[in-house]
Amino acid sequence: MKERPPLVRMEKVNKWFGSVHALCDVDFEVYEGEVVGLVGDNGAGKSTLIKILAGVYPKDSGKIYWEGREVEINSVSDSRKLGIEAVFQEQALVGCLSVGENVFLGREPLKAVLGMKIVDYPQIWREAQQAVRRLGLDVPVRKEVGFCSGGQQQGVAIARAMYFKSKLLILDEPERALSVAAKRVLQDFVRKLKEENIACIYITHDFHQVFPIADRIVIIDQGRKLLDVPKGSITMEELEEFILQQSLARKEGLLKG
Amino acid sequence: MEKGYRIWRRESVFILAILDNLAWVLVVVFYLLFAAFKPQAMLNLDILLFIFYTLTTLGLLVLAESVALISGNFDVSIDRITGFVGVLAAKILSRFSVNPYFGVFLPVAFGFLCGCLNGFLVGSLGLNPFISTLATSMVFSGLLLVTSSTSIWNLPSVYLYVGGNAEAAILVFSCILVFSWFFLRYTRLGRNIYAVGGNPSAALMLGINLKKTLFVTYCIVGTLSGVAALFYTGFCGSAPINMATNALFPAFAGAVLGGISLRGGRGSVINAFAGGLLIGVINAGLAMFAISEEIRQVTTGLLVIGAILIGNLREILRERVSRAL
Repeated sequence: MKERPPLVRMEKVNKWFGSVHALCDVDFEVYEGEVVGLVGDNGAGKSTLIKILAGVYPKDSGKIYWEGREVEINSVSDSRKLGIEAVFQEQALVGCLSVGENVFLGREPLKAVLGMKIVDYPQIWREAQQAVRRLGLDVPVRKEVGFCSGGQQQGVAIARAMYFKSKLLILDEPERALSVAAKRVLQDFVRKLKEENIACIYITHDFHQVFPIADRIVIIDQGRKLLDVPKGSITMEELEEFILQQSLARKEGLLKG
Repeated sequence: MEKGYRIWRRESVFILAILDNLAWVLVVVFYLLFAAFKPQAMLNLDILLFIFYTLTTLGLLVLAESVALISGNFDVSIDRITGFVGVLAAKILSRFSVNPYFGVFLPVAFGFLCGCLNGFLVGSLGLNPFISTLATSMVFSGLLLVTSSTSIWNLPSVYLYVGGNAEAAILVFSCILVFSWFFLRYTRLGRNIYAVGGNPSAALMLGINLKKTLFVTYCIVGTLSGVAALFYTGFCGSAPINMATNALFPAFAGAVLGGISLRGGRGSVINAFAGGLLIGVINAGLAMFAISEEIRQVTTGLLVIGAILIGNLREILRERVSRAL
């Protein structure tokens, strides 16, 4: 896997929010078709890292390479054009619109009628149905998203990202507020992404959720990358021990003041 | 328990569907109620057409406020925009030799410019929409008085035609209503307005330009208010100094009664028109019974309260249904 260049590579990326150094010289890369579990506590910098990739925040310094060439990602639109789709904690769904409308929100297909370009609803319903079925999701595409379960909403957000043929899908704590059964369905979603050769960055507090499906585990703490290992080289118990040691070391640091 | 939940959910969805289309139901109920007491007065095609005709002016303001509410914002300046641009356009027509066919577009253009100001404040600068439009409402009120201290008469018949002729008013209004519905439903910008109203942070994360969408929304609202000024002037045969005064609350009530959500992102302008129609039917019925203007004002106030209560009931029911799933 490491012989070919990474799909995306972030080099010495820094980000400040006021005086808070949210990301400190972070190097991060993802290969095509790879699932990277990005693990860290609250405030570690995980969301900041992926929001820079997704174009929500600009980086303050450092470089980003996409398929080997240096790129600037200054907006969500820039990120999308590269083939990056993000499913944030907030899911970016409009509850009062239907599943189909949410899948195509901001990118509705148009058709020409009497010289005007109008939204093509038949295409929306047809293609949204195919997109959600690909994930094994059984939800009517005309149903209001607000009436869908948490797992279904998660599926809609992922179906949207998959439909637009993204090369990299970012999932920001997708298992939050999901039932146990829905979390298993989510893992199946991510396996399907691998089948489609879509790379995935899976952000989570809970490495137990991502460990079974990840190819690589990256741990971030206080804006720095602490660990970046292939899954095969570490067991879940060793990973747990590492995280515990880091947590204790941080507490000792706080106590010493 | 599972079966009970399903039944409850099905019933709630049914009740929700009724509440979303309540305005149409109530229009028919109240019309039949008044017709029961005054059949000769109400069961008359000419009266029906007249009610529809008188409603076109309020209907345009209901439409304007609906567009603002769908985007998740208020515009409390719509009546003052209508008053100001109506008087301003009339003053220009009466003072200067302006081609009256061109003059028809004056209140529309001025309404658009007033909307641009609101759009700049709310969309571009991100100011609170209620306070901003309240402030601009005062500006437009003041500018109206600067423009003229009396009503303006002796306007060209061409200028008065659209608002002064029932068939023309109904036709033009219907075209505007259908076009507005089509725009919001079948264009990307229209869908963006719903998205921004439904979940602005989601819209932002999906790459929708919030500032541009809100700016355009207020331009549309201002333009519709300007068209309302043209209709008002034609209807009155003059540009009265108190044009559209106190029209804000009936417009707001009509929009909410017609199913436009106060939270944004939801509602159809066709149903919103039904809300305006309901207010018109009630007012016409009360006028038939020679109810005084003061009592009718009380009725309008109660309708506004009723509209908000129904709107809240819809949101509560919707949340309960979604939580049960």
